[in-house]
Amino acid sequence: MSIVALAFLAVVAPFGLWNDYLRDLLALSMIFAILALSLNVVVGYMGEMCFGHQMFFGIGAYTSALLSIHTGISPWLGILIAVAGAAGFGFLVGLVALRAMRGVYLAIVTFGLGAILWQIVFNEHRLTGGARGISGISRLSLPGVVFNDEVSLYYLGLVFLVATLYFFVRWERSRFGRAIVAVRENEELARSVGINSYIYLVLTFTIAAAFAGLAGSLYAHFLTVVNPYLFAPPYLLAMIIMVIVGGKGTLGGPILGAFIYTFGLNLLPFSKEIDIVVFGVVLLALILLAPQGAYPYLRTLATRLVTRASRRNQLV
Amino acid sequence: MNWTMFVQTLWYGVADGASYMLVASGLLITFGILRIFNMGYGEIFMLGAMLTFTLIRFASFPLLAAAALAVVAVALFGILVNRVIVQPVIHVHEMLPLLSTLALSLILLNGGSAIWTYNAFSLGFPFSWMIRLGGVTFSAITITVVVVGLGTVIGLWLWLSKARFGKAMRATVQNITGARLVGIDTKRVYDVTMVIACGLAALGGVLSALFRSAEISMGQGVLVIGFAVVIAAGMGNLLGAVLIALIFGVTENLVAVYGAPLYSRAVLYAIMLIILVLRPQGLFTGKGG
Repeated sequence: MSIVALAFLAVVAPFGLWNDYLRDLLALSMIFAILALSLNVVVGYMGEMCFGHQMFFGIGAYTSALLSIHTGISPWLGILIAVAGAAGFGFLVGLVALRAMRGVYLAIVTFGLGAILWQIVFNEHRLTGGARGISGISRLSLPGVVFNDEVSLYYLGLVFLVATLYFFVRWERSRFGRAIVAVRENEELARSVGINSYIYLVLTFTIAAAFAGLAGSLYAHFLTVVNPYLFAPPYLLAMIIMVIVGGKGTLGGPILGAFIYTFGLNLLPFSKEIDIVVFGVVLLALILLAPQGAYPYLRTLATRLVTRASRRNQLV
Repeated sequence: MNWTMFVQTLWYGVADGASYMLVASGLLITFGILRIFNMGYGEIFMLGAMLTFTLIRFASFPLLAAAALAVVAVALFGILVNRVIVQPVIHVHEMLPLLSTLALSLILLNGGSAIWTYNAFSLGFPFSWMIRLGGVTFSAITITVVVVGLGTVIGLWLWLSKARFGKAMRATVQNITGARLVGIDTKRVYDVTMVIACGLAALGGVLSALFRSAEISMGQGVLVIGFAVVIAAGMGNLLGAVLIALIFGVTENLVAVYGAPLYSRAVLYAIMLIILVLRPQGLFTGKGG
């Protein structure tokens, strides 16, 4: 019932908004929702913290951008290569980092790695365009449609988001997903029943990187420009805000967080810095008071409203 | 090989190392006692420098008074950070202090840039004498920075090993339950730790601003360098951290002059990553793990 309602809402959403700017944000939220879901894999399911997740987003974006500018291959193939590139890099990082460290160490390592990559992308301007980035990236198209306006981009993003969500729903319920939750809850116990925790953690990290790469690649084709700030700390903070404010460890939470962040940041009436301060305060308040995020509350509220409404219907 | 330039570069490295070792000592005692990495520590460093600048520029304080007031203010801010941001979540999950201090960094960095913009400011320095030895210049600023930095760290080390409260702090590091049993007020130890750590960062920020400049983004890179030093030296090794901080300062300057100026800091981060992967317990720690 609620799924049908949500699906209906998702399909009519762009027509409920009254200007192109809001529809633009709606399309962008789709990308950020995929991004937040990918970080959520690390934070929510592995129980680890990746302070360098923007690397995978940036790699996806730049791979698609460079392929689009320098080669004639189809952008759809470009997306695949970008996802593979991000996943490959994530696999390497996971392989080395997860062997020796967890917890705060993993956070610090990914933080340092992100800082290095950000400097490389910023400085190697012959390859990356330096501070100006890369512009003129091709649009995605299918026979008969070019995805170049807010509404078509939104629907394209929605398709990718639903596909991502479907993947994670299946993954969560699969042997793999249950194994990784077992590792999170009690690694010793999981190992004792024959789960090779290292392999599972590395592969999970790879999946997270792959979806961040997908988000990056879509970002490049949606906006047709990329800049090195995709690799910079503000993007990391953005996705952490989305996951934590929305609610980690659930699939609805990061999506909710992506909406809250995208619309909040652009609709708050202050300067950009003060907007981010507002988000910082919200983030802090949630960490201190409700580390599970906003989603569980919203869900309870929605359930209560639905129950009340159905009760009223019965009375009538 | 131009030896004058080489020695000059080494000296600048030592001057940068002076502020790094204050940052690293602060991170080290925070990790030692509270078992957290403070992600907002770079912004505490920045706050020390920017408050000093503000007091000089807008309240016409002399440098010394401005720096002292700023360092004390930021140090006391440490109590607030501890009580509001760290303590409520410290025993809930190890990730939460990492996130709550990250939120602090976000608030201070963006709030700060709304106040101070993104420009670089000079604190000025009242003395312009210098010592010249065989073509190498030791300016009053760099000598002050190095002397104050080293003096502070030596003072900290003496205090930790000799003073009663310093011993209480070390006892808390070794065994918190035992420390409580012998009557150590561990809550107060936490407060004092954050006060000292924030004071060290603020002083490091002032030193860095004297030698380089005060700007809103100054804390960001320093945070990673601080982590790098602590990780390279090994947890709980203050003197090792001081040595590594100096080595890192020198390496950064040598790379900047003789290697790739754009990557002088990336090299330090890379050293940290390599050490973390090959020797996670640090260079100066005998035991594994």
